[in-house]
Amino acid sequence: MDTLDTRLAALADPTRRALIQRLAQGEATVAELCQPFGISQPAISRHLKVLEQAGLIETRIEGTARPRRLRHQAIAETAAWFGPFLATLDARFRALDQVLAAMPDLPTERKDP
Amino acid sequence: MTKLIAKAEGDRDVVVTRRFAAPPEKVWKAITDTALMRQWMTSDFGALKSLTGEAVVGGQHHFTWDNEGTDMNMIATYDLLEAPTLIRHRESWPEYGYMENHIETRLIAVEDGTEMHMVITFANAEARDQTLAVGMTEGMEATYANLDKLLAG
Repeated sequence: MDTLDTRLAALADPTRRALIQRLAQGEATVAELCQPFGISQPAISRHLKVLEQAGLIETRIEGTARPRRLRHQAIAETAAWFGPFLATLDARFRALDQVLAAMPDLPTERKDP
Repeated sequence: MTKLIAKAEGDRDVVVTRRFAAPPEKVWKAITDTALMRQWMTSDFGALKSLTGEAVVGGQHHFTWDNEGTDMNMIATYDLLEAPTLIRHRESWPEYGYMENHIETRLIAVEDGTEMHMVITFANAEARDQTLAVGMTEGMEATYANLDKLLAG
C-alpha cells in the first residue's frame, strides 16, 4: 500500500513530518532519530513503520545497521500535491492555460492562406 | 490532460510533465514574451510584483513576488533558446544564497496541443530534498495550523 491517501494519513502527524524533515538532511538510524525528538525508541520505530508502510521512506541494510532514508519518488509524487514548489508550478500552469486560451492565433496556425 | 506529473530522477533532478491545449509556437510565445509571462507567473502562492528583462541568449529575467509581505526574488538567466522547442536556463534565488537550479524545457507537438517536458536539476541532492520533502511537510504544517484556527474559530 503506498497510495496518496496512505501517504497523507502517514503525514498527518507532526512527529512523522519532523522525521521526514530530518531525513531530508540525509539518512539516519533509529538511535540517531531518537535524539532530537526526546521520545522513546519504540515510539520512533512505530512512526517509522507508518512512514515505511506508506512508501515515504525505506530501510537500507548495512551490516547490522538499518539506516532509514527518504524514497525520493514517493516524496516527489506527494510534493506534487502538497509542496509549495510544485503546487506553485501547478497554479502557474493553470494560469498559463487561461493565457493560451485568450491569445489570438499565430500566423503559423492559420488554416487558410 | 492538464495534470502536472512530477517524478524524481537520479540524485538531483525533478522531471515535470504537463500538457497544454495550444500548439508549441503559441506556448513558446506565452513562456518567453515578458508581457505574457507577467499574466501567468503569479499565483496564490506569491503575487508577481515585477518582472523585467528579456528572454534572449545571455539575457535575464528578474522576478519579484510578494510572499506574505516580504519580497521573494528570482533571476532567470537564459543559456539556450531554440524556438519553439527548447529552452535552457538557470534560476537563482538571492534569498536562498543564490542557490541555482538548471532547467531544460522542451515543447513537444502532440495531437491536441503541446506536451511540456521540464527537467529541473537542483544544485545538489540535499537542495532537492529540502525543496520537496521539507517544503511538503512545512506546507502541511501551515495547512494544519490554519485548520486548527478554523476549528477554534
